[in-house]
Amino acid sequence: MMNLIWAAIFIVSFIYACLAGNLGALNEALTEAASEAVEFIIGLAGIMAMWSGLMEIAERTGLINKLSRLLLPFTRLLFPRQKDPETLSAIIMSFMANIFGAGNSSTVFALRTMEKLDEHNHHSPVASNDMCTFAVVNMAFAPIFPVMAIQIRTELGSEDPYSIVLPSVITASVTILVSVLVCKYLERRN
Amino acid sequence: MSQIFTLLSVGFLPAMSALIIAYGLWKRAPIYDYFIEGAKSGLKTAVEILPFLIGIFIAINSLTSSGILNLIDLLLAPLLTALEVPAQLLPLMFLRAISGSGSLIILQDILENVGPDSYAGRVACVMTGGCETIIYVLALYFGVTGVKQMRHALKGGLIGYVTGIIVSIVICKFI
Repeated sequence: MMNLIWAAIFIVSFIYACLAGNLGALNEALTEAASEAVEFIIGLAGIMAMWSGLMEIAERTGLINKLSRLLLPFTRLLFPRQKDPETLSAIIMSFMANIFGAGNSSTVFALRTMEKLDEHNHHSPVASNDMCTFAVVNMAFAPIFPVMAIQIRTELGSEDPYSIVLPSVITASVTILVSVLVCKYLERRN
Repeated sequence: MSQIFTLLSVGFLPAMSALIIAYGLWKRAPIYDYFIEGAKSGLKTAVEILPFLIGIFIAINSLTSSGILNLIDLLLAPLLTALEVPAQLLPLMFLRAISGSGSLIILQDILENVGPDSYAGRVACVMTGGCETIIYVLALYFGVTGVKQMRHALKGGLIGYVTGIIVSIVICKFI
């Protein structure tokens, strides 16, 4: 599927750039893309190493076991068949980091979750239900406190920079709810 | 209220770290050795996902630089006006699915033009809220697995995305 999406994006962009005379911009953007990705990963690598290190401690000392048992009632709603404490705790940490607006840390836990789910799925080329649900819910997640948006609002002299917090929370909640329901419906169909 | 949120946002991850380390100390585990071991495997993952990232960045950069988003905006503007949705929101609606940092730049642009407290300005803020973009999640998350067939992940993500856009437009009329 990724083959198709990736190729389609590139071909469509190329054709449009030719027609609109934006080939120069496309040329520049392509050269920059690769080095931008490397710069991005350098920033992420540090955070990744730190959290993996801390989670290793939590795992080997048994803290993860305890925490995930505590939160099991919540995760059971989304992932009814998932029992493995390490997977559950990675899921929870990813959601929590998202809620508190720590996007990069959340990505680290999300990748960890996907690795674990892949193991449960026996590295099958077909995605499991849990993988799809997790990915879709994570796309829908939004921070309770959208720091960047609030900062921009404050800088531009908003009368009440925080007035977007409540609508943001409601929007995210509805989106997550709809996403979960859609996933549960779609997984039954195929 | 907002102070509580800020405290939680700033404090959650440090508090988690403190809890993990304190628990390790209490259990008399060799926590430093564990940390180093985990950090090593974390770095390995970072290197493993780099090819996927380069792929995503190429796709995102070619989309945004080709100018095709402008064409989509142009085509859809009449439809939005008919639905009484501010047309300034169009670039954000599409870029939000593709690029997180790009949509922040667009957000700033919109707020400068229409004012942060206007209806369109508030919708733009709420719309930007999400954390991960669709293509990023699909490529990166499934990149670390052996999955070739993503089943309903794309469809579910898109439906959720459209829901988010519609809800943010509607909710700002009331709150």
